[in-house]
Amino acid sequence: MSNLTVAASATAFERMFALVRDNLSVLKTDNGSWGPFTWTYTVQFHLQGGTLQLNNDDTVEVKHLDVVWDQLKFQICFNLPGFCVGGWCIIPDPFDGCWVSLPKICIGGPICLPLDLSGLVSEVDDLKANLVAKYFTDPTRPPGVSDLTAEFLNKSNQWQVFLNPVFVDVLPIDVPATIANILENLFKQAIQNIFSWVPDWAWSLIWAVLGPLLDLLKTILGIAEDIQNWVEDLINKIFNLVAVIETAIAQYFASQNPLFQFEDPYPILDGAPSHNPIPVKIPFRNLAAHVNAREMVVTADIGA
Amino acid sequence: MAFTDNCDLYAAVDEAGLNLIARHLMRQRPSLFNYATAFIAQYPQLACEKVDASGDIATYSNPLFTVEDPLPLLGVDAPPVALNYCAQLTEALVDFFPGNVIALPAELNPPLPAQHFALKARLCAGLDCASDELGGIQPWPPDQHPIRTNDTGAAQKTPPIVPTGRKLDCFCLDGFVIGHATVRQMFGQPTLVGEVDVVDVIEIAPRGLKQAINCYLFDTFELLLREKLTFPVTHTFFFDFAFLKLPGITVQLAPNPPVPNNPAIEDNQLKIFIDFKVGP
Repeated sequence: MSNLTVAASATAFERMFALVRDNLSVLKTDNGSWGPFTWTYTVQFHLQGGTLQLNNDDTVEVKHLDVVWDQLKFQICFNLPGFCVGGWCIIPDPFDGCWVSLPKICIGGPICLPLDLSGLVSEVDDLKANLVAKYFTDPTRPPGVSDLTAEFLNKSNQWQVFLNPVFVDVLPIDVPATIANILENLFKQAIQNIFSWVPDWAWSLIWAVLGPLLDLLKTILGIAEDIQNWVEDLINKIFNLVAVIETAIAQYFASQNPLFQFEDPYPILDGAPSHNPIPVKIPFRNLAAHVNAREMVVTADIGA
Repeated sequence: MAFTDNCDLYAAVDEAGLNLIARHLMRQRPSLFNYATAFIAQYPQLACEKVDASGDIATYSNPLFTVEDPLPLLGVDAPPVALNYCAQLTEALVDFFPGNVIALPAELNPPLPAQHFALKARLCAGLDCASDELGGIQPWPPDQHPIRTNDTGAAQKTPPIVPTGRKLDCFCLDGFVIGHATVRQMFGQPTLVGEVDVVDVIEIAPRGLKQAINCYLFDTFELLLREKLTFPVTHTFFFDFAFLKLPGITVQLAPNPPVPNNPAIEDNQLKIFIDFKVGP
């Protein structure tokens, strides 16, 4: 039997979990290319909600955990095929040539579409984890110093209890059905921005040549499917944001932010600067943390 | 049954763990358990028992002893003379109900009552009688009043002469305490405190002397526990769980009912049951 037993009810455990969950914020940027286009993204998310359940098999399960995308911005860049409008003769020279001709306007070349889907909410469908107690020794702690000296150097050893994910099941990110319209508008806006020197009279000619913009975009990017599915594939499979979420959550809970931690040896009486400057500290050994359907139970021995 | 069926947080420490904690406490805060005059504190080898202290005590210049005034010789004031002494608690052993570690003396009506702890302490004390040195102390002339005044006219006691024979006459006694634990609101937070119910020091006669010593030790333990050995519940037992420090969260003892004894001393453990409340 252990010297010390501490238990936290499911309600208390939920509070502990919420605090750790609310501290998570992941920011990531990446870039790459896929077929005819290159991409870059900047994403940032945090977690909220979720229903927590403690299980008798020593696991904690969190379902329907919201992934709130504080930033979900990406850009795809590709080559707009070049073409020209105008240049033909308006008043021909009766002898030869042309007295007045329409200027020839040529456009084409690299173009980028910046898409901002910040505010979207996706979901971790299921997060299952067990509790793991770890002993952390500060690698910068000078060798041979006492625990008390280490504390004064702010390099105490720590007992830490982590939620160690066994699996994280992240649902693919859904994008709104209006994404096709959004992309089409972005495409039009991007063309107008890049070729802002084009005179007004030429735009009707250009739009007429380009035809339906969404079809053109699909042709350029080689999109054979529905544009909404394509964007979802882009985010989930090419950017691999599902894996980004899974990895970030697993690392965060398993090694970056413990459910709770305390220094070892643990101070039970403060020092009194005037007469007893040092605190009284108790070493803990064999810390273990488990859950059952009703509570978390932490046990430890007192060191000699 | 789950530990937290009737509360939000539960903690228990068993008597073996508490005895290890007591040993750490005695080694890391020796001045709580060793009292002596300045001279003995300066020459700790003169004390009745060697003080077992952790290395950090010397490293960080913590005292081994709480320094007390020398013991005055009653009526001796021209000049006043006082003696060096020390008093030490050298061993302490705790037993939680049901009693199975400490054999209580008959005076304490064993067995240990429910919801109580027993403490066995070895107390050693010694006095430097310094009889050989007294001959060198010359009485003041009769016209020299022993009470002097300082510049403002206030009475000023002459510091006593403290002869040093450099040897204490020591004795040790076993003392037994029966007490219980309680949680009080101290300095704004629930705090665990030990309370003394009865004290008995064995091997002392006559009866009046024994009663007086028991009474002195009762008062000492009772107040010492309240002043120096109090343990904030959330820090001591719950590692300062971060969520308990969130704004709007308050911690309180789980009520009776459903928890009949809180803190409880049973199953050779000290147990504590806590609820937290959210909101104002």
